[in-house]
Amino acid sequence: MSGSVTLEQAARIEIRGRRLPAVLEWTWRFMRRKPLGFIGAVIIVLLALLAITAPLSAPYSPTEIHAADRLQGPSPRYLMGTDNLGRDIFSQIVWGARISMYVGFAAVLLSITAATLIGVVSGYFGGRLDATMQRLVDAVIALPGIFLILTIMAILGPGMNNVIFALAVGGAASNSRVIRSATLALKEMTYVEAARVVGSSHLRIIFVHLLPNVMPAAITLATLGLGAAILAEASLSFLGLGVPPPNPSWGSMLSGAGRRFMLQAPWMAFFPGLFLSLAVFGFNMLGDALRDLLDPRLRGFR
Amino acid sequence: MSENYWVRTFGTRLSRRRFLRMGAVGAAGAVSASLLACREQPAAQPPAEAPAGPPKRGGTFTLAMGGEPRSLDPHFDTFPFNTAITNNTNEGLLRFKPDQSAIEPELAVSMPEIVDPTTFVFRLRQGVRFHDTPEIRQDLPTLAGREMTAEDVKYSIERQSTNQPGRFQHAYFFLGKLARIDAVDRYTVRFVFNRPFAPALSYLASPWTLVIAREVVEKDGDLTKRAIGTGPFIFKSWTRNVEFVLERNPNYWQPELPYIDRLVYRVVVDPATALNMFVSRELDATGVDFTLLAEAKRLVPNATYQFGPSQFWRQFRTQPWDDQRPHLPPYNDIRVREALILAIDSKEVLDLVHSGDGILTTGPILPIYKKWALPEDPVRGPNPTRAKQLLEAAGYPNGFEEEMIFASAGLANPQLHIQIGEVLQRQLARIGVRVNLRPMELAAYYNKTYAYDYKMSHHIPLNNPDPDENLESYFGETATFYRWGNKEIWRAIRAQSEEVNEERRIELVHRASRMIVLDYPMRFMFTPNNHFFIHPWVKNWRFPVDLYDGRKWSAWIDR
Amino acid sequence: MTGYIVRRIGLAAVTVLLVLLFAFSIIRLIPGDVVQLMVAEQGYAADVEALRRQLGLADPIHVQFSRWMGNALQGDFGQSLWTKRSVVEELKRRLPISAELGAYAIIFGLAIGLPVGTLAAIRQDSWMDYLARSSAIALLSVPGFWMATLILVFPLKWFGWTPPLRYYSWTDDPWQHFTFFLLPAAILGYALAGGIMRLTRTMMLEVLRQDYIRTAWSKGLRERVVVVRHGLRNALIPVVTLLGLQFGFVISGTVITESIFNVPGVGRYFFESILNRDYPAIQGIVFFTASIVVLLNLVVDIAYAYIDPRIRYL
Repeated sequence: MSGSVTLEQAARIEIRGRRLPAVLEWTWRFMRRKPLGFIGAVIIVLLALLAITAPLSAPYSPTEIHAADRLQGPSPRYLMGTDNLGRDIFSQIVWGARISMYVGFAAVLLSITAATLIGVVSGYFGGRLDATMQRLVDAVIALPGIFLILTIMAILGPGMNNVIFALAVGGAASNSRVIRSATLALKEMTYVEAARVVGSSHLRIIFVHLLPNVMPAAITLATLGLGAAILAEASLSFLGLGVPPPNPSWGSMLSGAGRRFMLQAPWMAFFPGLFLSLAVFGFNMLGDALRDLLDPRLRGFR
Repeated sequence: MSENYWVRTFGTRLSRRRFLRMGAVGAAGAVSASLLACREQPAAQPPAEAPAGPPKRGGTFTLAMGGEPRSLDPHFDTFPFNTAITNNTNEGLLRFKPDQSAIEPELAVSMPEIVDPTTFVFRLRQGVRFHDTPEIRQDLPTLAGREMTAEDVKYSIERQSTNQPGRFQHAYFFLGKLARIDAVDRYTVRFVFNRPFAPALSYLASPWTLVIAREVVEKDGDLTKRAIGTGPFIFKSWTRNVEFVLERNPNYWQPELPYIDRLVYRVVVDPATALNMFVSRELDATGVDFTLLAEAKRLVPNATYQFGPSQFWRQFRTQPWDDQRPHLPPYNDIRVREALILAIDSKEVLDLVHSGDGILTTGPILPIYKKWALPEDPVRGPNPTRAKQLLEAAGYPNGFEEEMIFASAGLANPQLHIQIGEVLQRQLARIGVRVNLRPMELAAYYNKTYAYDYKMSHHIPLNNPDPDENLESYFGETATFYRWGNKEIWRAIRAQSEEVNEERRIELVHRASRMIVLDYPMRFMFTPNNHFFIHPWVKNWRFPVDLYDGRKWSAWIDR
Repeated sequence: MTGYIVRRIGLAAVTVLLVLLFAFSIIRLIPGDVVQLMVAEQGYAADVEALRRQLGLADPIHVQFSRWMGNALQGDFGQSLWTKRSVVEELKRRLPISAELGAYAIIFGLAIGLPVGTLAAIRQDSWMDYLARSSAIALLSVPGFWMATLILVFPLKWFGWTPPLRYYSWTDDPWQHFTFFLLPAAILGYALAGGIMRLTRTMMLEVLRQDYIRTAWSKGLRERVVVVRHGLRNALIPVVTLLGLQFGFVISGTVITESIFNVPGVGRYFFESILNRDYPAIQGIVFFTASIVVLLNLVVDIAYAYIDPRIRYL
């Protein structure tokens, strides 16, 4: 590249004089600006790919018992070894990625949706509604976290959907607080006032003006919450309240048979632990980067 | 198949002397451990060891407890945590010998005089006194140091046999069979049964049949906080979630006993932690999960190793029923039940989940009770082919769907139970029965089992030294743990309880057991082994076969 | 200001009441009540109802609640349905232990999180920042129980070493008492460290851009003075808020760590009480834990209002 260059031209990334597609350009920028977040994103994408391609990438069914090959270490046939029932650990990891990610995503989706609803409604309408809702939210937050989760699991019984629900409830309350303060700040913005003056209905204001602007905060909370949800599911599995069979989840692999055979067959715990930690790490890194980029308001967690 | 991955991978590559030494010891341990993991039938007796020498006085004996008793009431509780305490503070008329081979007298002077098949007369020891400490003297002055008499025995047995709400879990020992107890005089007790009752002596020797102090019941209303009796140890303190401390009773009626000064039980909830504490000598004896066996042997090579089959075993159950609760299809068809039982391969479950570390069972009574257990398994299984044929004949050529419940959360190793469910699921799938596993939290599970509201489950019952306990409480007329409405079986079980001659009784027990097994209510699967380590300074004591019996009077410490 | 305080206290009281209402009603929804458990494996059908009456569980729920509230206001939280010991007595023993564990955990978290966060802030976007941040997050990504198991299992295997696993009271042996908490506190703390690090970093970044920091720089003060004295102090306020919320967690949410390390704290007691359906115990624990959380938040709110007058009108 030679000659004078406009600001615009300099801002674009050029290789051999041709512009890169916008997506790649954006990715490159993201990597330069937030390398850690980029690493997190890469990890997540890889794990997601693993999860999505489970039927293809898993050499065996995760519940298939090969009794003769039990407790074997990693080998060409069983990439990550087998567990004490003779099931392929790699296949369990791959299918477990589905479960762990699904449970995490579903719990967080539920949680953020509820939090956004509560936070926006409470913050926007204010007044008595706000005061009442905030008392309830405070009450839920003050309830010991494990209490909520255990109680819900005890009432509903084991089951993947129940785990998702239990994990969502606690997060919903504390996340709603953050959304609410974001809403409060947004409420004062001139364009919202303008919309009110013009006579837009409440619904319109909420959906058109508030929600989209609360989205960044919500997305950040969601990403950070994913890491917490995956860890929480592992703890639930330890207590015996996690995702029930036949679904293998990283948490149940790690806290159950993996832990028991820790000395005899360390690969049973090592791989689920590794993947679990990687996933949580990735989500946290990505979430941090998103927060830095998207919403400076979130810094002061009040 | 060496179990020790670390030895294989790192044992020879690391240069540090320590690791090499570790490797050698580890390899030896791995070899012996893998021998164990093979399908060897372990002996119930520990290997021979150096003679113990003369008893030494003094010292503290520390063990771990995996949980805590709900109360200190031996009449109301079913967990071994209770008897760990009460078998040392209280005593019974009779007790089992430390190796469980026979019954011997404890508070009675000798075995009873059998006046006729329904009447037993016991003579009590004289000069046996209840515990006497400043606290007891202050709180219960009439109790401290007073002599135990026939009235106390009568009171205790009657209390145990009372059917009070949710409290007296062992009433079934004597309720409905004992006509009356007479305190003939201060030191003589007469039991009169309303029919010949063969298990009578076993029930009297049971760890749960203990003489308690009426004054405590009268003052406290129950026995949840205090354990006062005539035993070799005095209850000193219970710091919840931490430990129990018992101290030597200086006025024990056997003046040279007990040898040790203090008995401490530490509450250790996590089984892996117990090994750590044993190695660091915080515990004098502990149980160890078989997955840690090689490590334990390597880390404490001079500890005594004891193993044997547990009395907590595994059953696969089909729907309970009786006159009030009808037997529903398809379970009311014996062909279906037989098919289910034939599909189950107990050995495979044992091999996969427990690495083969255990023994298979032959019927409702465990082989560890050699006298009473069936010598062979009447079920000719596993036989999936025949099972499929039976299902077809019964009208289920494509099998059927069912839900299997079991307890997991709230138990020590939740994943273990889930894995057992998964293997059973696979085995039943082979004959076309598609099982949905439903692990439940302990309380919710009891909810269902207590209401007999399930079609399939797998369960851990326990076995007791007397066959009557195992037969009657599951399959008999007054059964509560499970219900099986087959009246012929009821009669067979009752018949064995009335047969006092042991040889004939064995025949009747076998007969009842066979009837039960071949009616296919359950698959009696296996019992895993218990592995125990005891430091060499603990003498003259081993973990009892009946893990309930907590008596430690025979032990001494010799460091 | 007083008006604000009074309002806040009032609101806090309402919150606590709501918490109790929640706790009281929810646990009675759980199937498998305490009576079933008590007669488990050996019940006689008729007994269940009688036992339920005896334990006071047969009355309608609002009667039970008012009876409980009435007693609670006099400081009587009832007896554990299982052990027949007073709930207050049980909590009196365990709350201090959990509080101590929680305090050490928070200290650990702060000891790691504050310096790492500050470092990451002042060397923003340098390799030190990246290293610090990724290490902190990597730590909190590992599940606590796995870390705990690794610490128990492998040092034992390799070196024959085991951490202290027995609780000694403060009066029995102060050194053993202290060292007993170190490892479980570290495991709880490193998870907190990640969050603290994050918050410290973002707050420091914001604070360091402020004018008064620039003034401090131009005065020629050393970096350490600027950062610590002027920057950190102001950045700490939200961190303190965060800690307030975390404290509730470390008191009652630590059942796994407590089980593994034999800590006789509230977390385990709570878990066992839920499993045993020990209603009075559960209610007592929820009451105390929630009160502590609400109280801490109250104190923080008031402190905030004191520092920043704008907040008083929220």
